[in-house]
Amino acid sequence: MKNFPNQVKGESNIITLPGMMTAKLAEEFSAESQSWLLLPCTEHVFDFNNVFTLELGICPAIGVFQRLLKANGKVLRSINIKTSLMKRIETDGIGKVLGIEPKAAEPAKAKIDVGFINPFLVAALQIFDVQTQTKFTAGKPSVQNAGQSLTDGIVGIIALNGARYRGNIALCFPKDVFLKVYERMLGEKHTEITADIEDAAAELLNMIYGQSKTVWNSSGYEFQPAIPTILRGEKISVRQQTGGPVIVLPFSGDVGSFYVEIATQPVEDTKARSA
Amino acid sequence: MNIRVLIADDMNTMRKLVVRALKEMGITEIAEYPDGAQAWQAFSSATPQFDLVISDWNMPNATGLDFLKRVRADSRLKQTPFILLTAESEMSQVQEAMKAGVSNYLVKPFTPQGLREKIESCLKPKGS
Repeated sequence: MKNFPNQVKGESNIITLPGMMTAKLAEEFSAESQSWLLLPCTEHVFDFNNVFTLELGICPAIGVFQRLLKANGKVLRSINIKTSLMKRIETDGIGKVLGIEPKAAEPAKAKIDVGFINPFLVAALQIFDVQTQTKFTAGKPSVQNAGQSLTDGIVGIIALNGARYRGNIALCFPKDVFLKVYERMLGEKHTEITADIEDAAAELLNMIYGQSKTVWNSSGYEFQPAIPTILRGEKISVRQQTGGPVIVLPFSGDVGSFYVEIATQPVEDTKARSA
Repeated sequence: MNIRVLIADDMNTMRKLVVRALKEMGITEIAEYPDGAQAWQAFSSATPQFDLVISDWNMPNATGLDFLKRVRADSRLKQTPFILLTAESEMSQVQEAMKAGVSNYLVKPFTPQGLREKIESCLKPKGS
């Protein structure tokens, strides 16, 4: 009885592999593979469904077969590999010989560090309550690849410079929301954001940052004091320089909604980027 | 309250908030400056002297702490009550300000009532 039965289906030659792919079978494999090379198939498929043992000793014979296929413009691939066996294959680095493409590295999934975000959320809600007499509700934070664009509004930005992280925080208000917040804060009604009132965005961010920093630094973040800056205009895009993901925190209240973007990068990464 | 107050803060909005709170207390003689350097210049040359300083910490040119140290180093002016009104609330910073001779320390955000209490506490004659 053959250890490597095969079946041709259209352009494919399906080879059912035995339960134990031992070095002892190398010779038989080489002999069988000579006949497979003569088949008018464009691809040869190893079916690993029965395989639970794969000895490295059989791999040189498979390697010869794989190289011959490649030289003739044909393809080798493997199917039905059990998870445990796949781990062995990956560990031993023999996937290429078996026609297994290395898995593309999955992009690192950005996580929201609750310990970092929560002090900021608490500070923001408290400061808007005390200084603008407005109760906002924090929405669900999300992670995005880049900062959002703000149409007609104002953004306060503060640089984060700490022992563990660098980056920045942007407090982004649509125009009408900012004007309403300003009116609550100072009792002055305005129809446009002018130089006279714009620094309220920076001051609110300054207060939120100051309060958050106290909590962060008690956990060893060592963020430095910073003075915020302001951007305003009809279309504002905050281009985050960290290269990392951006955490977006939405807030809503009776005067409307605004959001905060937090972009951070571990200090080691920023050193590497600037080197 | 019949006193002269100097406010130093780089944010126009914050100066307006403080001015509004002071006016609610009946204080009308108020001068405003956007950084510690300009504030010190005005403060040190003022006649008559200011009775109270309310200053931010983080400001360009000279910080509120720099301003405070200059005031405390001047034999003629060093007794002036000096309140730091700042977003900085770390214990190490409060201690640094106390070491430099701050009279009172108020963390932003603030309420008019909170500011009033700090001012009254500064201006209260010692021992009363």
